[in-house]
Amino acid sequence: MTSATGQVDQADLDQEVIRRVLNGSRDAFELLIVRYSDPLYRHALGMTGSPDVAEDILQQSFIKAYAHLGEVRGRFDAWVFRIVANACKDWLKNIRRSHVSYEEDDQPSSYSTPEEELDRNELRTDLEVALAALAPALREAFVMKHVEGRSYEEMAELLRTTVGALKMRVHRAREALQHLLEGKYA
Amino acid sequence: MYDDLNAPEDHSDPQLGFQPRSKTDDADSALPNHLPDREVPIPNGGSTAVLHQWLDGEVSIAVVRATQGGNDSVDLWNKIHDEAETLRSRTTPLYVHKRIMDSLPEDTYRGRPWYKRTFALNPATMLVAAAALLGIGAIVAHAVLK
Repeated sequence: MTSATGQVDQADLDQEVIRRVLNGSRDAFELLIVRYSDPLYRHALGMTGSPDVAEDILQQSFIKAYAHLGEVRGRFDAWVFRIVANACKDWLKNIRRSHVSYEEDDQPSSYSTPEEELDRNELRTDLEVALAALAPALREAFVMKHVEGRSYEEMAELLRTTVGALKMRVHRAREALQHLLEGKYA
Repeated sequence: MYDDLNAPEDHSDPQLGFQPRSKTDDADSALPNHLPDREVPIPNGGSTAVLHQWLDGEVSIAVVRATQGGNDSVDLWNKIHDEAETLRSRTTPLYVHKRIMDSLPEDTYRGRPWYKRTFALNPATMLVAAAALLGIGAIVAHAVLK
C-alpha cells in the first residue's frame, strides 16, 4: 500500500508528466499508461469478466483521459480511475449477457492437475455468473474490496462516497454471492 | 489491505474470550431426553454479522467457525478469495500499451501557442517571473518620472 508521502510524490511526478504532454510531448503520456494500466485493467476485468472488453475499456478510457488532460484537478490516478469505473458501469448497464466469460483468456495455467484446473474453471464461471447478477454498484464495491484489495477509505476517496455506504454495498454483494454459491460450494 | 485468511484455525481465541465447546458444557446435553430435535432454524443474523467482520479483517477465523454454518461459509469464502487472488495477479497485456499509444491523436497538444502552455511553478520560474516584473516596473517608473 502506498504511503501518504509516496502518493504526494507520485502525484507530483504525474503533474510533471501531464505538463510535458500538454506542452506537446505526446510520447510522455505512455509513462502514465505504464504506471496505471495494471490496476485499471484489473478493475475493468473484474467488472466485465472479459479480457477483450477490459482491454477496449482501458483503451477508450486512456484516449478520453488524453483528450481531457488539461481538465485534471487533483490526483491523476483517481481521475482516470473514475473514467474507467464509469465506462465499466455503462458497459454493464447496456449489455445483456446470457453467459460469461474469460473465454478468450490465454494466460498460462498455474494449477497442478487437470482436475484442479477444471474445478477452478467451474468456480470461476459460477463466480462470474453470480457477479453478473449483482447491480453494477454492488459489483463495483465487491471487486474493489475483494479483488483489488482496497480499504474502505481508499474506495470512498476514489468513488467520492462515504465509507458507510460502501460497507453497505459490500455487505449486500457478499450476501447475494453467498446465497447464489453456497448451495454448490459450501 | 487484504483480509487475513491465513489466521490459525484453532477455535479457541483467548483475546476474544472464546473457548472451544465441549460435550459437558453443550447446552443440548442439559435438556431432558424426551424433547424432540429443534426443527426451527436459528436466525443467522448474528453469524452473518460475524462473517462480515471476518471478511473486513476485524475478527479471527476462529470466531466465524464457531458460529452456526461458519465452517461452510469460511470454506466458500476461501475459495472465492483464491479466485480473487488469481485475478489480482493479472497484468495488462503489453500490446495494449502500444495499441493505446497508436490510437492517440498526433496533434492534440502539438503546436500550442506559448500563452496556452503550462508552466511548472518552481523556485527558478518564480525568480525569472519576479525579475521580469521588476524590470517592467523599472521601465514604467522611469517613463512616468521622466
